[in-house]
Amino acid sequence: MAEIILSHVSKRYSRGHGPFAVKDLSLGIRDMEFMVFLGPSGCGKTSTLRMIAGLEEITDGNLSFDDKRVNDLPPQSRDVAMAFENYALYPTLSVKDNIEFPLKVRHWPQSRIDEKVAWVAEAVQITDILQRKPVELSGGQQQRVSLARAIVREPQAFLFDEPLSHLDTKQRQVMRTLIKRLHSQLRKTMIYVTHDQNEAMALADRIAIMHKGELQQVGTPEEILNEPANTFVAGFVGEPAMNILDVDIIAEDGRPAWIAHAGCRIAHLPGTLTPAGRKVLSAPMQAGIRPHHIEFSEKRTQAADMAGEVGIYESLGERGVLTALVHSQEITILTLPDQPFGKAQPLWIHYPLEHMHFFSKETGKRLHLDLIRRENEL
Amino acid sequence: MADIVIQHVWKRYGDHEAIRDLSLEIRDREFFVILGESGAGKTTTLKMIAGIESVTSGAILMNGQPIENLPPERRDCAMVFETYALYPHMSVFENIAFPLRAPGRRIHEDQVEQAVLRVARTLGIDTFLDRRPAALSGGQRQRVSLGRALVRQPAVFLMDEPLSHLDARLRNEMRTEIKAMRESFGTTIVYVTHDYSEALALGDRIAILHQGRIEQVGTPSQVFRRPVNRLVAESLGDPPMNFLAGTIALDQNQIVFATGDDRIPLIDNLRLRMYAGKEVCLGLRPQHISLERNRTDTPFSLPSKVFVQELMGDHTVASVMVGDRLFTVLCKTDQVYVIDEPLYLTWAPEHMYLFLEDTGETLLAEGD
Repeated sequence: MAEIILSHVSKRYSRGHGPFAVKDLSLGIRDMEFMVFLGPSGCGKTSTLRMIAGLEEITDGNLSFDDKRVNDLPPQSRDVAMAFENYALYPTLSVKDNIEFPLKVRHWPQSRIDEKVAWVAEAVQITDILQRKPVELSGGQQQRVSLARAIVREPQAFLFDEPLSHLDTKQRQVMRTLIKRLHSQLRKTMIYVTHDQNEAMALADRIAIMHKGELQQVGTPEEILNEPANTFVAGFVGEPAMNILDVDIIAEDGRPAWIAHAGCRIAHLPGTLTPAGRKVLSAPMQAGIRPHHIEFSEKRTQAADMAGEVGIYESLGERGVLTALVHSQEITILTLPDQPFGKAQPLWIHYPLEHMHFFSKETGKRLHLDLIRRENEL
Repeated sequence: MADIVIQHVWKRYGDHEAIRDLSLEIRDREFFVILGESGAGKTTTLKMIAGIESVTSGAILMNGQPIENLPPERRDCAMVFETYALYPHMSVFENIAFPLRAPGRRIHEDQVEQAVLRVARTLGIDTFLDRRPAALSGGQRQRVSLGRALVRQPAVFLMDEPLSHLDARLRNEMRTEIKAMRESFGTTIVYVTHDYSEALALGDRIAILHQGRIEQVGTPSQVFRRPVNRLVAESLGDPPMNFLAGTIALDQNQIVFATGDDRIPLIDNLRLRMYAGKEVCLGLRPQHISLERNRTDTPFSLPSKVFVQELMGDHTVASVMVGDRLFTVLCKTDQVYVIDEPLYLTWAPEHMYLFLEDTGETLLAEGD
């Protein structure tokens, strides 16, 4: 059992006088949860992981495991395993002896050891290489062996620091699947650090997105994609990136009626707004729409009535990426592959309101569309 | 203006054959991509065109003239490397102007300024010409290094993985920009990458290189939909194509793909009949497979078992065991399975690929 709670945790290097590597981070990681820390390099994700492991001192705040404060507990007393920390396998021992080592140290009977090693070897798919020496293994195999050695110890939680970043695409995919399956077999808390959004989406129960030392959002992959908390999250997650444009609310007969970009309407706003609703929307706003949600047509239709033109079209095998010019802004649209788009060909475009996200231009924070709707109904 | 013809070129380093009998024709003003894994020989090929590496044997012609013995500076090629290699103590302007100010070039300063400004505008870097490289982002630095290569107006532009060390976001942006800029380049471009989506997006034609040998040359659509062998099929697509071993068999005079106890009908043609009894492997792309809980009528179906499922937010990736092979399948978010659940894979026959086991040669491709 391990529930890990960070409460107002900060980290400053240079003996607490440097800039904040992690700033006022509060986050609860549930027992048996697969939590991924995602962010660009320098966002504080690895510092956070290392504080949990006990490899970095906590400058401020509390870290607790199952309601017990562990700030001052040395790493070896925390019962967490940094998986793949390094390959550090004993070169003279066989794979099997390497895996058994932590159990022999604890004086387990050989029959129990054999049983355990057989199960673990099966789980990480190294049964056929148990008799080999580490030098005879590929990088991917060495990683599996070191993972197996971490598993046999049965720690309360597993911590992973970008474990797959130096593997090739194919091996990365295989290891990712293996780690995901292991999580559901072992039912242990796992915390995984990565800058790769695909890895985060594939593995996580929940993702914590960090930027410049601060937590931006915690949520399931679906929540992160469908309800990004701010423009950073909206732009960081999703591929190709969300289109983000400056928008205004345009009034008609004194009532807000349209969402407009650069003076041209891009979506109809159903109903009217209360004074309070208007106040929220009178501040500068941005709208976001994902490339796969944009609809387009070669002919003008009732819905697709925004004029645009083809800029660049890239056909990528399974899909196409179209960069279109709409109101002189470049907009990315996801399309089918092998489309016969001509340069500067006119297109008619529609942004479905239900797929639009709104953000405050000043703070970047999400403005809830249901707020707009609720205000509309009044 | 330059076409490049490479004829039977070999490159050996001691016993190691880095390039084995390479022949290519790169057309004037073509955007030609060389795609391959690390160690495939792509950079070696580029360096031989540039003259930085010698050829062991064979010929390289530019506009019909042999150039393989010319020194690099007489080949009219400019090379952009993976690393930017900018001079840190010089401004962006000075970095771009550097090749024009080289001793012996004797270009008037007015012309230097004009040329730098023209290139800087094309690349969208004209607003920070007075900055030092340290004050620029990775993408901006890459543009400056492109600018320095472009300013000389070379006949051939050689690019060695120029985007590989940028982060994913920036890489996509720069890829689109290179595609947009290429018309204003007006030069022949040879572009080396290990990233298949870069190759498909940018290339007029793509050469797939493997262990020093060319596997296939073709348009993006040709190499993606009609790969000549399994190796090409495997190197284009993410997640990659799934493969399953079996044999071509005759079952009641119907030609089938046989794997375990399962029989998948194949189109009946003389070629496949010729290969009856041969070991082959079936290829299916992850996006062309659907998963069913119950056996359906289609004969294009195989039993499988869920290994694990990854929920990606807007889609899911199921890994399923088919025989002893792990298959990747792209699914919708509402398709949720449990570990070890039995399922049936199905697919449309036009999406089926078949390769010979020993040589990898394609017997059946999309649309056959």
